[in-house]
Amino acid sequence: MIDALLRQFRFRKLLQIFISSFIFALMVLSINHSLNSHFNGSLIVTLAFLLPYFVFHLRKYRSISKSNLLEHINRSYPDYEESAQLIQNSVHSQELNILARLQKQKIEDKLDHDIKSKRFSLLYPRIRWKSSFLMLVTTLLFLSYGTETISFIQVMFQNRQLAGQTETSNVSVALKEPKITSSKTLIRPALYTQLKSKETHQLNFEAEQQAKLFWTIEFSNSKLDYFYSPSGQAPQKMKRNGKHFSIEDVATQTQLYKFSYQKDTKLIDLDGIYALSVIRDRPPKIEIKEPKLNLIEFPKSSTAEFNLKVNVRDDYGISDVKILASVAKGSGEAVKFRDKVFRFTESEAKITTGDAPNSLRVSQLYQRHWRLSDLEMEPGDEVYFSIQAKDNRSPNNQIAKSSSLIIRWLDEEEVEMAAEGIRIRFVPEYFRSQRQIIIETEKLVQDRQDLSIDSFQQTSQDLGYSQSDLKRKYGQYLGDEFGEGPEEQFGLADGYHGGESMSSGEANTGVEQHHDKASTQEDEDDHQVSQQPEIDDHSHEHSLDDSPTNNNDRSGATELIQKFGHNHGTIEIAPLSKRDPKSWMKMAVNEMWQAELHLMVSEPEKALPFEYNAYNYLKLARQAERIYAKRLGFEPPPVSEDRRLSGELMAILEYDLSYVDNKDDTTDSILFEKSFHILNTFGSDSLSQLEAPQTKLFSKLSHRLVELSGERPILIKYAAIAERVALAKTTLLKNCDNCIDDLRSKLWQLLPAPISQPGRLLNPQPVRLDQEKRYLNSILNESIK
Amino acid sequence: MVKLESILNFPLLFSSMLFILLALVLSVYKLLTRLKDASKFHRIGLLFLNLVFFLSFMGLIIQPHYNDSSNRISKLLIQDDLTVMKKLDKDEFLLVSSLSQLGQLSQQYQLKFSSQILTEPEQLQLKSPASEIELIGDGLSETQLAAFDNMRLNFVSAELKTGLISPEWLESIWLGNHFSVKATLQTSSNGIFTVELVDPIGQVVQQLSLRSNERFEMSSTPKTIGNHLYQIRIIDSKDKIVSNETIPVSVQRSTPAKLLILQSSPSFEVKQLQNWSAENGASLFVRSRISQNKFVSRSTNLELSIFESTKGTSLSSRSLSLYDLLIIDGRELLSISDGQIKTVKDAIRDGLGLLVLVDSYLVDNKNESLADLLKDFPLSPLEQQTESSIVLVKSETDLVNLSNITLPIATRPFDSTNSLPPSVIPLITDLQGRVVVASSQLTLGKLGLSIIQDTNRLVTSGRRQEFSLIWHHLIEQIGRKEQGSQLQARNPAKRFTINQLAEICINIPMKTPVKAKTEQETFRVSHSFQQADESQHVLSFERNPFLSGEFCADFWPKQSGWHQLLDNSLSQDNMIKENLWFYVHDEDGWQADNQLTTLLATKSRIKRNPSSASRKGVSLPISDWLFWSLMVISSGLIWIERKYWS
Repeated sequence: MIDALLRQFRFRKLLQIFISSFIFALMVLSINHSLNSHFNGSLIVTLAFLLPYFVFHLRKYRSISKSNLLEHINRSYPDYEESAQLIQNSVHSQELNILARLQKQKIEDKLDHDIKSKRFSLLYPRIRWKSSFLMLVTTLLFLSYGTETISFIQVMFQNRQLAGQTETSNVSVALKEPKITSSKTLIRPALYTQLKSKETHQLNFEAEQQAKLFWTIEFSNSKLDYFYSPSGQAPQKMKRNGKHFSIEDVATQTQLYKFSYQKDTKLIDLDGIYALSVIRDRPPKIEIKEPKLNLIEFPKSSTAEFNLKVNVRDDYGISDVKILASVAKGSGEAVKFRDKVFRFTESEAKITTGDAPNSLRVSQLYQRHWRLSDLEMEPGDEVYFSIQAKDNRSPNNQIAKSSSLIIRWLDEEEVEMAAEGIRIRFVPEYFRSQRQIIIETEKLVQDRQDLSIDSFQQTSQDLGYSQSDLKRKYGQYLGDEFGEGPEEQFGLADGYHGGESMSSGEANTGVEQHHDKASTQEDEDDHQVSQQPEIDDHSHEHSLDDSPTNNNDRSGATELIQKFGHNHGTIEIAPLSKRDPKSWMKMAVNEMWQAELHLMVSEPEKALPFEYNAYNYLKLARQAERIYAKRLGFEPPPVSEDRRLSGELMAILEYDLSYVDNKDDTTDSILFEKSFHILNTFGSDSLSQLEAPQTKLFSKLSHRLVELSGERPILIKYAAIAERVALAKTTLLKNCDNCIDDLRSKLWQLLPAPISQPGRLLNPQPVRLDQEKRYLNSILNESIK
Repeated sequence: MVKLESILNFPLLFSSMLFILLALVLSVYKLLTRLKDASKFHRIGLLFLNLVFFLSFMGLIIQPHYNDSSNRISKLLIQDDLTVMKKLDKDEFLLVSSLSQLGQLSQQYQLKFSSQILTEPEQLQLKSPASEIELIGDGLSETQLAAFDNMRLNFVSAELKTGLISPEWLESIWLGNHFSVKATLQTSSNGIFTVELVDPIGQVVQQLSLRSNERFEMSSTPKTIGNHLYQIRIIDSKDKIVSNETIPVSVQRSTPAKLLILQSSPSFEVKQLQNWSAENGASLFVRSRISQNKFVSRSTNLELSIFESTKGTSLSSRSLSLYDLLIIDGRELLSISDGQIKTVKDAIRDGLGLLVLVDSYLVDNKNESLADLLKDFPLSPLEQQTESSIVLVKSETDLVNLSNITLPIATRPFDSTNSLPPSVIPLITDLQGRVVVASSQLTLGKLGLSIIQDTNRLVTSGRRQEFSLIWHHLIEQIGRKEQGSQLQARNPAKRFTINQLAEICINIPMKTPVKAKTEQETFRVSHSFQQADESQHVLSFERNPFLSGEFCADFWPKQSGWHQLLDNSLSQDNMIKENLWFYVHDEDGWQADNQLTTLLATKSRIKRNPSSASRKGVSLPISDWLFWSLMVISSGLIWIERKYWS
């Protein structure tokens, strides 16, 4: 009887444990599956949780014993009078006393009755159906929608964590490193410039050369000592004035600078590299307005007088202008020179205030009327004028000299000189050459984004004026527009500038090209060209007047010879090109018109193709005007192949030499290429640290860009970025979103056009070479058989 | 939720079903016990409610289906215009093509749980089984269309997108070479569009004005090595950018060649060639004849062993095998012995390139042993000295015109009198198409003849770049080929796109005999260094049994940008060079071309529509709401009965 009850209790308990374990397992499985998509993994985790849960509850099952059950009945039902344990089998009736036996009987009857009346059903382990059902439904819902819920909670948690971290890091950074809270820089230009002092709150600024600079900086932590460190110089300690720190310097050259503070015995740099751009004081520019030609000839009978009008411009002021004259009397070896210095009689000053830096603010117009007789000249004499101007720079003035004017008073016996072919190899400082115009136009195009609109337009127009002057100069040679005096004047065909490097793609100022081992290009080119007289296709005109033979030959042999032979009249002389130099120059001048037009309307990109064409035509004109003169003298007969190289050459040794070509890694192009490659690889958002050689590379890049900024001020900005990368040792710069991209773009612009490599082609269908060779050999062997 | 037939395969669910059944039996038993004194109506009613509850509960788990024999048509919209979401009918579904679209939908319409948005076409049949599918919009790719095999499809195509289609470009080039992009402009209007090629820093390098369906070609020369991204922009007449496509180009340095130059006398030509080659890392051996039997030789950047084996007057097959290209002028070629000519021929057969600089001596003097070698190249003397313009022929469609360059030629162009045999390939022509440099394949090597002279003039006149282009072209085309690795994407678009499965294949040179190793080789794929974690994952490549040296793997790119393929194999040789880069495009890239691909695939599939189009019924699931409703109602009534009636 009691055994049946015990079984009932145990069964109920087991059922309870089983149901609760099942629901627990389902819940754990659903949570795991939501977090981890691998079902097997979730199952293993579930079992891992389930096992201890089950074991724990199984203890309760095992605690249901007969004695415990009877004890439980005693506790639950007082009417059992604490006697339920009497019915245990271990207690035999013979061992009990009468009272116990009676009690046992009573308990047995009672127990039997209660079992039948199911009184003990209230004591059974209860299965909580409702809660189990609710948990089951919850589990099913979680299985369906749990993933999204967990993702949402994760995202919320991550956002809060990130926000907390950012705040913490901001706070910690603020506490650790001092910052510049305010800055003021007083720029006091040199006295001679007559410019007013100005103030700026920017740390990247421009200043005139030799201007005095006074920084007043406030730092977030005023208890430390601060230092001012210009690039390439020793740090200087700043003076403390209460909360502010000050330092002064003189603007001598474009440079970078930074601030640092002292911690223990070390100097720690503050975040930020700043650029000081120096506006250089340029020498004066002299423009001879009148006369327009460089060579003026007066016939003997004319009144030898003319006006000289000169416009002198400078940044800040002109201190002195002189006319240097040199009179040449006589001819041949008896020529005598007499030098004199004159001054202008009239002048008119004009001061403009250009907005863009480097504008020529001061302009003065000088003029004087001349009579050659006042110079004690006679027909047959010449006088050479040049203008010398000094600016007001202090302490050392800068001097500029104009091109020379040649005034010739002709003697009537003198033959009019043909000016064609005269070349004067000098470059008037005032005029840019076509090559220089191209270089500066390319630079302007590249720097467009870095310049202000006014500065860009002004530079473009300045180039337009230069192009116009050059065009006019060549036009004089062509006799297009500018004839002066009673006779046709011939200009000078200057503008040819010997010794220029002509390779294309070298339009980057300061970029060192790899040294051309072919050495002097033009001379060698001339030499080679001269070795091969160009043979026309007989389309050019042959002047019959040039023929040395007369036209009296009636057999027609002469005409035949002239028709099919290559006779240019003078046997030993033949022009090189098909056209004469004037045609090429006319074409060049046409291109210059177009280039000038686009430059004046600030479209340098559109002007460039015309500038290139003009330059090419000028080169062709220069080649065309050269005359090939064949060497006169003994012409040895051609050597046959048998006799060739058969001379006695005992003294000539055979040798084998081995070289290693050490490519110069220090060139600018290599430096820019390596830096670009690093920036291109890492990008602007990489957390990777740069290695020591890479950091050194950027430091070197920064120095080089500072040097180049002397000629091209805009590069100082990129020097600062390179310096920041070197100091930070990463390409992820704070407070500088587009810096890396800007530097990368500028490096790309500075790189020259690439040279193709002597490399091997990749085989698109790689084969087993040995297999193919065996196959081919077998075919060949078969064919031989 | 799974169907009944799969329950047996899933032990946990099976046990759950069993548990529920047991619970039902127990409930019924308890019910009958509790209500044994109640009325029959009461007991039957309660029994019924319990049954309904348990059945609906099981219905939620099992998801029974019913057979619908009516002709159901489901519509699948494939397009970028997400505003259609507002107007979708219940049988219309929107297929999103990218995660960004899905994100956009979630933000705009908060439709995260909408059942009418599909991420894969296969989901359509699950959500709305139908016997016929109507595709509206851009169409599906071949892979996606496989989900609708044996089904009838209709297609309503969308308007063509404005953009570039059928693009072609080489993703990997050598430094100094130009790359050219060819594509066709596709627009929906007839106006004129401006197409710009923009370099990696945003500068426009070339600009064209085009109309729709015009094919164009643009080219540029990258300035340095590395991985660069060019862009092609399409701008309409109102200066609005309508399309911007990325053109990735990886520029590498080529393996420097080893050149052996034999000249009959010192010359400027070889001097300049020597200077240029040596400066750019090539190895050279130059032998100049200074007397009938005297030579001076000079090597640059050459290993000592190669130098030692080459110096001297005779050519051996061993020494020739160490070089990639032999350059010799005509006069020197005439002076070498028959035995040496044979040695040279054998070397060419084994892969050496031979470039002969033709001069008048070669034209005027005949040599029996050379006649066989030069039989395909008709050499005829020039009547008068002529100059030729220079056009580099890189392929039939890829010509590089070196403008304003003319160089003298030694003989008449090769094809001036006779047509060239088909084995002869032109390498340089003039503007009129007459061949001035040509080559022919001799087994593994090539023989090239050049009649142009004095290319050194280009250096002295400042046209160094053109000089390097000419010689680079000749060395590349005639010299010994390099056995290297090449990579390509095998999908219709021939490019990798993020989140789109593609097959990636690599050709690996087999220098050594095949060892007995596993069929699979493992290569890592690394995303570009821009990511801090430099995430990598491993691809297992399988050998192509039909093409030796080719390995392929399925690749599912998860990040856009440059990726690098690294060798992780166990073999000792590093089979892949470090410079094997490829680019994974964004989902939004090349939309017009992708649309064209899917349109063509879909139209092709429509043509092949199966005749046995399934018109029989489809199996549809019973709605969950029915089961939930029944469950809630029955449980509620049971609760009421228990509370108020017992």
